[in-house]
Amino acid sequence: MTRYITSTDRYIKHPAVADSELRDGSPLDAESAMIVHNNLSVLSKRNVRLIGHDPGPGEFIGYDWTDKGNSPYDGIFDASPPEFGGTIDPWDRIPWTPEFCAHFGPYNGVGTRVSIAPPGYMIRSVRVRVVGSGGTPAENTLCWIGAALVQGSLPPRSSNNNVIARATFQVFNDPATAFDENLDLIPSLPVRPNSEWIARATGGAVPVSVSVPALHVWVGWWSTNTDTGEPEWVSSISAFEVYT
Amino acid sequence: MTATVQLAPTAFELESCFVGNAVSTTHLGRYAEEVAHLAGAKVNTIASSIFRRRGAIDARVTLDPKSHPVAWKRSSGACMVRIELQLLGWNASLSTCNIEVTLPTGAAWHTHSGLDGSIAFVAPPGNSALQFTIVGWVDVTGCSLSTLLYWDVAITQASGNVSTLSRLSITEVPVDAIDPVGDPTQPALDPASTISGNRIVDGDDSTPVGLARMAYLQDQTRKHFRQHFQLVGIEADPTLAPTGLWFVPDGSTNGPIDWARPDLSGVTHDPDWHFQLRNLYDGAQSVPFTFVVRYRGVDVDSNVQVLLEGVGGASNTWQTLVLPATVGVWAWASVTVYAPTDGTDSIVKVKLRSTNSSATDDLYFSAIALIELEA
Repeated sequence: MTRYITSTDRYIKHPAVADSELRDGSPLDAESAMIVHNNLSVLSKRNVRLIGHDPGPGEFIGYDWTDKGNSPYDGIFDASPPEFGGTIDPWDRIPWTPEFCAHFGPYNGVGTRVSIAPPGYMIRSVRVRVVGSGGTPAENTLCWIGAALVQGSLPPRSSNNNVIARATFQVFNDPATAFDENLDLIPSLPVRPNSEWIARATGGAVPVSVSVPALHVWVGWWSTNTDTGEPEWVSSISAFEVYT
Repeated sequence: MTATVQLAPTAFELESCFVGNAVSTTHLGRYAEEVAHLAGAKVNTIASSIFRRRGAIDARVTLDPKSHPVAWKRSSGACMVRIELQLLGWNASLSTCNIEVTLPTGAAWHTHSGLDGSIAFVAPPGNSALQFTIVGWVDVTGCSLSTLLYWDVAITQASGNVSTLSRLSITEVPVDAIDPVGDPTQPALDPASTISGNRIVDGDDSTPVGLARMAYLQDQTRKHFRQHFQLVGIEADPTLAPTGLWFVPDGSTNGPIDWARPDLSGVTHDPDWHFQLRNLYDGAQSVPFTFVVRYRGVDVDSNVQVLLEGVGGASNTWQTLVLPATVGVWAWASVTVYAPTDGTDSIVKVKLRSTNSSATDDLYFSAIALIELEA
């Protein structure tokens, strides 16, 4: 929980150390104490990190999904979508190889607050913004884009229990519709540190390693539009923490 | 006494700070905890980039040697940087490559895992969904907090076919605890100085105790926290495969950068990116960034421009970085630019364009970054 002096949270600059009026033996006045607490709260909230920016795949080809050879899994020898002909989970249509996704991270998750039940840290929300357009194919087709905030390095397949937050949207085709879509990844459950990273060259009084929630952001896409003359496209992908 | 770095900020009500009420150890304890959290936990991602198929054919496999340059300014609490590289799969057997990371000034390897160029890595099997990643750790305690520094990840074919990276991730590592007593340059307040009964002193910026020290550290976490907007591409000799690099054709005036994507229909789509500014002063002033670019010069001065515009805010003007003529030489160039805070929720849009004044040479880019420059 944070509290601010002003009606809108803002940082209040104070004099440089050399000009400080904080003198030995003199009491700390309430105003100075409030300013410092205010500033700490503002910085805790607003020091948000950028996770990754990508020019995206540009125009991308779709598949009719009749079999593995007509899917993004074509030629991949060690992975397959779970089935063909039936309903395929949209997350499983993506092989999560570099041609079909943007994979950002890992980065260290930072909590916004401590959760007691269930125990852990509620981490900062992430916004993924995808800019692009649908295509204008001759037949009815689908194009799907999904983003997920994930703990650990496994991609967000339906069988992987590592997803902290997901968001998806469907692109409108025929006529092509431009989109500038926010996919807000808002964690609903707390996380706990799952990785040991090396934090220092030498320890001494402090530990050499650090326990972090190692987080990844995955953005994937697929299409059933096989018309390369009028394809869907994604021209940019942005992933960044948000404080609002 | 060491300062523990909390993974989440500490709750505190301002109602307890009023005239006539003594400042308690709760106040001072929160100062120490929160400064340690801001400096030790809130470190930045330097770069997270994907290298996909480029051009109508995969030009990546004809570019050798090649490298990926990255600009960086260190956060005050970061002592270590983690580098993760992902090698692209390749069908030919026993294709090997050397990867050599040139470290920024002041940095030293803690664990290089062969990323110092000493190991010939075997490319993983092609057409595999598995990821083959290499992780290295770099001690950055000797790196300046105020100077723009540079990384470079170079890949050279050792045998077989040309190898290439599919992903690169460089991030600062947080810390669990800070020892300001053992090393007063570490950004924390000695928690012992906040214990009830201990005398409160003013201190200064070079001693680990005191209220002036606390105020100094708090300001450090404001101005040494730097958002990194980073686009990392490929740097190589363009004569090997010009379609594999980001470029602007000769004679282009305020034209889009070609991002070397396989745009199937022949249409080049001009991207724009977004991020949220910290907007620390409630819209009272624009936010300075260092606009830094790695480019391969042409025979006359050219430029690259950035448009930073609040989403939902007023329109803004393009800001220009002049790229001095350095024929055929890759070089860094930078300028200070300003991002407006008038966008809804302080979201800012980033667009790029470039003028290539040469009549004969294409202008190439391998890295474009905006690094926060809060003063």
